[in-house]
Amino acid sequence: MNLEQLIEVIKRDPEHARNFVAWHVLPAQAATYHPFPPDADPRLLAALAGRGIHHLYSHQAESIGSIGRGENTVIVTPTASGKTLCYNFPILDAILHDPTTRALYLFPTKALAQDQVNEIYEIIETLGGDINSFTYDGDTAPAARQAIREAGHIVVTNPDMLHTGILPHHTKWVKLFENLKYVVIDEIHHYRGVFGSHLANVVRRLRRICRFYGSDPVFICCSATIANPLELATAIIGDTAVLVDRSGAPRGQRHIALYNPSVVNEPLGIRQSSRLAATSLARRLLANSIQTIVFARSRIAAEVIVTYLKQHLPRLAHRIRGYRGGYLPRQRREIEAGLRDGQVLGVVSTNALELGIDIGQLQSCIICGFPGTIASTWQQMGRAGRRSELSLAILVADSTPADQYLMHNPEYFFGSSPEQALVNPNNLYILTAHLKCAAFELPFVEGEQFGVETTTEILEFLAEEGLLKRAGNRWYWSAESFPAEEISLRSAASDNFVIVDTTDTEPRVIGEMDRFGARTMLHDNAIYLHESQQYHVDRLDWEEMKAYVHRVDADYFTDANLAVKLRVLEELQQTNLGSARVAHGEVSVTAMATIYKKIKLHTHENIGWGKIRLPEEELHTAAYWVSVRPEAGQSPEEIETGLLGAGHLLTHAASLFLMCDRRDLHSTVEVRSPHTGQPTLFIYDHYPGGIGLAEKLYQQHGAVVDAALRILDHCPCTNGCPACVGVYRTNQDNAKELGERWLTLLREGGADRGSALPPQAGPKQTATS
Amino acid sequence: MDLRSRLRLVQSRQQPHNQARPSQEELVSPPDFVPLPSESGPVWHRRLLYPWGYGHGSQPLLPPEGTIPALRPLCPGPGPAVGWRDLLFIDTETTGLGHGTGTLAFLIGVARFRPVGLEINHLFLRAYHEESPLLLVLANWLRGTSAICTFNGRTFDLPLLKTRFTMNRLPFPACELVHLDLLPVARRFWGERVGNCSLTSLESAILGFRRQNDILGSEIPSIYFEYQRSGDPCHLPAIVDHNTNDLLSLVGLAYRLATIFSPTRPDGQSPAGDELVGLGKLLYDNSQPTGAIAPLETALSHDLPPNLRSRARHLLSLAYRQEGNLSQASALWELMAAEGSPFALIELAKYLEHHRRDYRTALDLVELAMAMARQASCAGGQAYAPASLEHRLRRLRRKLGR
Repeated sequence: MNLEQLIEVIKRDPEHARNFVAWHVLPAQAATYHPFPPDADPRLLAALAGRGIHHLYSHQAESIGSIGRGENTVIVTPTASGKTLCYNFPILDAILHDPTTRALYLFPTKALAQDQVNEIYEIIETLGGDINSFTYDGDTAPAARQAIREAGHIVVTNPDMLHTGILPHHTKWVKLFENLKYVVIDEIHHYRGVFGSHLANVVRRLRRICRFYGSDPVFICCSATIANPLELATAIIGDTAVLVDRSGAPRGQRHIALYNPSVVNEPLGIRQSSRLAATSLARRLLANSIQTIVFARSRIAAEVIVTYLKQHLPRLAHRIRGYRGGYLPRQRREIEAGLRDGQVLGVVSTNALELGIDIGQLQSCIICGFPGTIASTWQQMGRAGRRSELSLAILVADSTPADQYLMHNPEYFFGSSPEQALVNPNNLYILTAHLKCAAFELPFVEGEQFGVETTTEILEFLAEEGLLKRAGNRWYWSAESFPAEEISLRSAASDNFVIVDTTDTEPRVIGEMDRFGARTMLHDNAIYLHESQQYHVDRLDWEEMKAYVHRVDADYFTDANLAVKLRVLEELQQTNLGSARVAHGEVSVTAMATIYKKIKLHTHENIGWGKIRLPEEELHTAAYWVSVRPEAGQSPEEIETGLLGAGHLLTHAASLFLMCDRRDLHSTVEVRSPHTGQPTLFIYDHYPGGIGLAEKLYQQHGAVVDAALRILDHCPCTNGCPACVGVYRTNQDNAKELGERWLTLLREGGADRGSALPPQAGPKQTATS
Repeated sequence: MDLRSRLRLVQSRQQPHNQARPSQEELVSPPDFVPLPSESGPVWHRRLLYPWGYGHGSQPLLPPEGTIPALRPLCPGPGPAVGWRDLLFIDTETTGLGHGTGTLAFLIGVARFRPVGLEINHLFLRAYHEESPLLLVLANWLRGTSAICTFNGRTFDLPLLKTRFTMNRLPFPACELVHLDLLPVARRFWGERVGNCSLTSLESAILGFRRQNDILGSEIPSIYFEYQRSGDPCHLPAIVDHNTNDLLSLVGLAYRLATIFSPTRPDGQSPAGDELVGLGKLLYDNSQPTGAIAPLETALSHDLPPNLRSRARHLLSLAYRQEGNLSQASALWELMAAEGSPFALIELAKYLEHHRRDYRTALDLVELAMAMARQASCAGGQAYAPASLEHRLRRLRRKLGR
């Protein structure tokens, strides 16, 4: 069967049909061509003709035009629309016209940078000219570095290398900085939250150094589809930009479906595993020789699905491969080439293949579990769909609240993007760290501003601390340390605890957990659940950030009490919605795990407890909070249960709108808050100083509460479960109902639920089945 | 919450630094430093003269006329011949060992020969904004010379100075100079004897000089920063003394090197065995096998440690062979083969096969070499070119008609 026939069969298949909650057909789109610019270098045009490129798509022509006028340009077009030519064309053309021209390309990962260089190499080779393009990262051989600094026209690197390897050594890069005309920041939607806030400051440092050497580069940013690409890009580059977002690339007809596995246990709301469902769908496609990519959320999931598929399709086993971080580069190249030439029929990958790596275009794509953002989902789906052929992409849901929200609100997925990528370049922790780096790189001249008007005050403070010294009319770095090495741009990852299984003679790392979770889930004697296996925590080494566990088969689980004390330091904004009051501001949070309880499985009896001895954590950050007068007759326990459930749902819903990890937000409740005098739910940003999540939540209060209510409405459980209100209270059998009552109260003091839905169907949506 | 309290919170997450104490606007310079007249700002300077005969360890300062041209082969790259009077010895004290743009050279020591002795000039960076005039003075000195001598300057002092010039948007005048970096040279000549080849180990082993009350190099940055914070110059003289000793050792080592090369030997000393082997290797590597023969022969007349002796024999045999003196070369190979050198066995086999037509002995030697190679690889060592041995073995058997 070909794909067209197979689609009809799958849609009618009794095993699958009823689980498709949405099936959209996006019509084929014809190409919109534009001629090459008349003054383009003929050598470039000949090289492109040699690669079969005879015209530009409209978005390419538009980008080339605005870049040529010296405008910062943000390009938002789908996967496989020829996005890289939007910047490679004008940059190569400029280098051909003036060989002193230099450009800097930033990619979020080394693998992507390598792939880009390979692509540019191919064009450069056919150009025959003397253009040099190099990757400069941690893997670059020391012997090659000198040549790259002197002679690289296009230097391809990542933000981390720019931060520690290039900017603090800018005197070795004089040629680059004196002649820097273009900076390309690809995949800019990756730079959100802490990472993006850091990058915005790295760009501030880059701009200072460019000014010192007399250059003023044009910034070119590329983004996947999000709600605010221009806002994100201008926040990161610290300047205005123009947006190019109408693709002129051709596309075949695309079938996009959402698949919710059937419920197998009604009272507990448990669904069939997404892995089994994805395997079953992929198997149908592969058996019909449809080239397919399956995306899994974790490395383990990817390995499991490969194993299943190989078992089910023994004759195709040699043409089905796994792909993930941890494979050797040679092995990866071989799989990529196999996908391009069709030798590899099926590949099961983590998000390692989501971004630019060239594997050609496949016919179908199955995503096992919502990747966390709609932008990523569309990027993964973009792997399927050749220019003129039919393609199929299916998102198979997990049982997480976010997955289930999508399944019940497909318009949220198919409409124009609701996802806001946030950065807060002026987070004082991040800003101050980079101000030190900047002072190390170049002394600050009196009156100079680094992003904020209060720059001088911060410099004065750092001088009092003995890190800077004022001499003449400048501030000089005056300490022995190398400040760029003291901050990692991706600091969150380095804060993770490693979980070591010591059951077998050879200890094995089975997972990681963030610092906050470690307190309540990896304390001594906790029962930790990992991949459905119970482990007993023998020892938590807080300093070394390691938990040593061994496999057990216990008839109980543990539930830790976390005493969270939150103090409002300053209320920045507040508004009344009926009897509810919504606010945001600065808070100080101290969290301490106190005791844990042993709770028997099934009966939920308390069968013991123990003390947790871990240091208290203090966090100064930003929070959003809602308080409301309680309904008459509710006990404090009921109020607490209702608020806790609401908090659990709200953090899940918020992570959808704010493109953050669910763990970036924490909630805490107070039955009678000293600050508001009423029952209050606080949601705070789990990064010192905050990265803008709390303020955005304040602005989007109504939409986020609505989304939380929808998750609750559609949860198939009866009394509340981990997928909706969480597992905080096991002795309340009306947790779900209380959660709903409190969410409704918090929405606008109990008024009827409005119809403020996420933005409705955009141009992507067409006929449904 | 005001900015200040927030900044305190931010900073409290970092490791504590010394708080700055109120300091005078004008910092006090270290003792004996006086301002040089300069158009672009004050430059703090000190000049010292060490007369001929001054002793630094076992090496007295002597007028070094005529010996320097011999050192020229030690400096890579093209450039003019160098006279002692042109040579500037340079050593810097910096605010860190890294190369980032925030690391400064706050004390620059420069030594040169004058008719009456050795002159040492120090430039001291009293305040950060006075760097540009200081670099201009240094640039002037560098423009008046054709060669410099440093210790590890190729990877440390010069790149750092270049960064400082770039930071001040000044052209760096030392790019074209002939540069004698004594660290790689020291490793070549004294590595066997001295081991780690730090300047302190070298001056003690080669010059017999031991420092009194010296400060640790790693303490230097913090002393300077403390001076910037407090304005108190009391610990600075120790740094200046440290730098002075570095320069005197640099000069002493250069003398010692000249001794190895010079036939005139101004101080009457003669080169040691390891120095002669180093010289032979240098000449051989520079395609002067004839020149290498004499120092290596002399070296072998010394009582050399075993590994140095086999290296000397090895080099000398190669030099003989290149000179066409195969009988001398084969005599050495026989000595070395007796001590189990696979290299010598093969060379000897080649010699017997091609020049003496003694195939039978050659075959025995190759078989022995192969057996040794097998043993070595069994013992986990590196096999000695087994493929070429096989080839040689087959050819010899053919010639012998076996």
